[in-house]
Amino acid sequence: MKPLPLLEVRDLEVTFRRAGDHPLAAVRGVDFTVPPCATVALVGESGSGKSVTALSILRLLPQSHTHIHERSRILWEGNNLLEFSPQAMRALRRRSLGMIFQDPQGSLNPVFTIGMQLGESVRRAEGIESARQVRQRSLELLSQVGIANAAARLSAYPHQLSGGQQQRVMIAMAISTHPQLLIADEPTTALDVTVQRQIMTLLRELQRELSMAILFITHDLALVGEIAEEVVVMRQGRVVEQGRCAEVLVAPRHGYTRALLTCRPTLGNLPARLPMIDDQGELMPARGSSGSRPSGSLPVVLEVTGVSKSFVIQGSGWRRARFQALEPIGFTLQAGRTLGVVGESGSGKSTLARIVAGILTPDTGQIRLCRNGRPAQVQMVFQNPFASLNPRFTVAQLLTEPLMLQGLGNGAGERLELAVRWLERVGLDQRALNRYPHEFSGGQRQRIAIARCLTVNPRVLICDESVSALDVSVQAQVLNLLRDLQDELDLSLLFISHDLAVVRFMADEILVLYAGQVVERGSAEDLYARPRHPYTQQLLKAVPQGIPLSSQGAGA
Amino acid sequence: MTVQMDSSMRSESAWSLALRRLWRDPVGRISLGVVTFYLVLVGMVLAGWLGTRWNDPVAVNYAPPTWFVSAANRVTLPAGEAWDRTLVVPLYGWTDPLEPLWSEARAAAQRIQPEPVSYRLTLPFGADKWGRDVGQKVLKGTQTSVWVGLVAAFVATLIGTVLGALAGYYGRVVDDLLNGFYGVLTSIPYLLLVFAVAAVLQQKGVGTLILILGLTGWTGVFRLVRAEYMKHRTREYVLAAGALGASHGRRVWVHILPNVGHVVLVQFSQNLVGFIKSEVILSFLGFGVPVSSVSWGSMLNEAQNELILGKWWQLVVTTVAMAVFVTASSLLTDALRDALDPRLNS
Repeated sequence: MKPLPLLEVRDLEVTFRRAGDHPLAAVRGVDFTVPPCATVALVGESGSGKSVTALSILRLLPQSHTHIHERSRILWEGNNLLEFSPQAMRALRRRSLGMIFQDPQGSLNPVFTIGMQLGESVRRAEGIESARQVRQRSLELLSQVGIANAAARLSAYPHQLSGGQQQRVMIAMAISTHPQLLIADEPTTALDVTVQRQIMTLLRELQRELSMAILFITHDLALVGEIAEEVVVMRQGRVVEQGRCAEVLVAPRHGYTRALLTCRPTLGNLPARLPMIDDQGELMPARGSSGSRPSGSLPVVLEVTGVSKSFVIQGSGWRRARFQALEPIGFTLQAGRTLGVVGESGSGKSTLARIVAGILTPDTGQIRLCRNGRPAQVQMVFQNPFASLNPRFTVAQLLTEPLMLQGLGNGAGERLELAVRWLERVGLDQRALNRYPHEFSGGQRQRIAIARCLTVNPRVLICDESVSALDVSVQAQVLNLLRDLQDELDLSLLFISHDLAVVRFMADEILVLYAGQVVERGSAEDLYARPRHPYTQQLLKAVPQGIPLSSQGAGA
Repeated sequence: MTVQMDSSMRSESAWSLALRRLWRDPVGRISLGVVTFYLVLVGMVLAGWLGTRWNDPVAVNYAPPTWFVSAANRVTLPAGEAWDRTLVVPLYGWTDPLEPLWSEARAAAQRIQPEPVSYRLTLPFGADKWGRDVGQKVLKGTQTSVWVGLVAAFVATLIGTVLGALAGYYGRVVDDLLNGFYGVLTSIPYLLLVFAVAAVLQQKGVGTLILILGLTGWTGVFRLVRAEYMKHRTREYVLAAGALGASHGRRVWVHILPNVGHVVLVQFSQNLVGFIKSEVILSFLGFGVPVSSVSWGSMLNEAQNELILGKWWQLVVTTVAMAVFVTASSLLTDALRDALDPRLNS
């Protein structure tokens, strides 16, 4: 007999009221079920309504701005959550629900120790008051989530812990209530690949140990295969496909799911161009050139020799502690080729990018541009397209400013024409000229940022995590655009990312950075096929492969 | 190919959006209206269309305020002491040595026939000790006080913004020096500092007041602008501008300044309110405008003596004029801050 589902979401419709504006339908009719002790994944890109769905289950949406349709029901063991009194809801959250968020640093209060914060939730959950018992239980929980030296960690402050440890503490707090359902909203998105792997393993173990259900919210379909038995794919507030993980991931029925699976580069699959998703959420086949990469003896455009950098981390008086962000490093970049730089946070990859772009000056070493080296020949596309465009400038101002600064183009009229030409080249038209950055989507902004770099005819383009902040479908568009531009303009790319699959798609050669040092370098093909350094091996192993858990069939 | 920039393609900048948001807020709209009304008044007084006769004695002293004017609202006072009355002083046989001068003076007085002056018995806003119209005085006083506040706030904001931008953007030695200067200046009690500057400048006047307030009041602006620049200088759009070849000066004034403009604007209007109050305090304490001029502060200073005599009208009129403006400016500041808050921009 099929057991009673733990949580049932029926016809959920959530609308945001906005002052002086049309109401926004964030979730429009979502149905799904979470059986006890099962893991269900909610997958979707930004704006798909996945987080809003999670928050409405917890009833944590701001009541003054949101309206949940009268028809909608969220059934917790058969009772409608939406009709619970605030007290009943609090009791439910305290006893049966746990939640972990994307950003563990933001979820922990920086002025209290781990022990105080964990102790508070233990005290509330267990109803115990004695300090010794609370401490005992806190220690138990910390060792359960795999924190070594738990007794010392209790008196540590959040900033003294790494991101992975902070997320472990968050998990400890969530499971302190013995929840029947753990809602995990993008719990590994802010973490490095290797740490992500550890957290995923931990979640899987805890689920089995504590026999709880997990509602796992993510944008990464590859990750879903590692943890979930069932998957719900959402787009624009609607469910487009749901079913057993093994079926959906292996043989997706809906075009959008298929598109999500294929428009993300993977380690195994290397097309010349990525397929993209059109406005209807359907897959568009990849188009573009044959994809033969330039090779042989090409002119060297950029030569970096012995560049290193350290930063002052504690400046008090004359005694200053320095942090070596980058050990001496050297490489060359040939015309039309791409050098990929891979590393986790703190590996010095952004420092390297900024030194090559001329934003930071290196302590030692030099950078030689091998064609009449004007500084404008290296340009940089930043990570966050929301931050890299001046919000008070129009697109026309953004694009003509570098031309003016570099003395290109005769007069304002000609500069504007050049700007339009680049704007059209990246797929926007001149109607964009008088708009401000906030009127564009993330992908469009990144295109504008790329166009701005190209206006000054650079030979080398540095992409520092340039697609990391973008949704998978938009990421595919930007990656394809970069590839097209590279072929057309004979650009050399320095492509920096933490995402190994994306780097593999873009790069001809690869540097692996770890703690400011190059641990391995080589051609992309070789390095991915036969990683020699243990760190590289570990990195590659940690990349989620998107293979469904075939062995797990319990719960249904 | 030519590129047309027609106006229909223009879209709203952050500033016009903020202005629209301010207009949508009823408090913002009303306070903006009141402040604008005052500014128009100040402009008209400055242009010489209003309040020019504030120094003329037009009524009897302490003429009470009345809005219902009866027919006999004037009194004609005799034109002064008559000179022909002969002073009888016993001289014990001596002749007055000044007699020739006296007779000359008498003859001169005979030639002048002073016209009898007619004074009003009541005025809409009453009159002060010298019979000056309080209505006219308050117009002129408003002009003085608001003008002092505006110009001093402009000076202070300018100094604070420039120093704050330099300290925040360049950091290191520049920051240490400017911060030290700021520390010294703020460690002196405010009024004491003001008195010190006043003592050094050695003269009373509107210009002196503006200098005192402007030179001492920039510290708050400095602190906030410096913090904003520290935050913005490592933002990616500033780094991107640098990578594209923008000079430091261009980054400071063209790129970052428009993005911290809302902080500067709010500080300006906050300073305006603060300085108007400071002007009143200084004039009240006698460090303010000279007797040849009038401001809210000097009027309040006079009013304290009048109040003992039961003459309340100068106090009430001045207080109302001041309170309405200060309250409206404060509310406008709040509304501005809400409208310009970048967190609400998305």
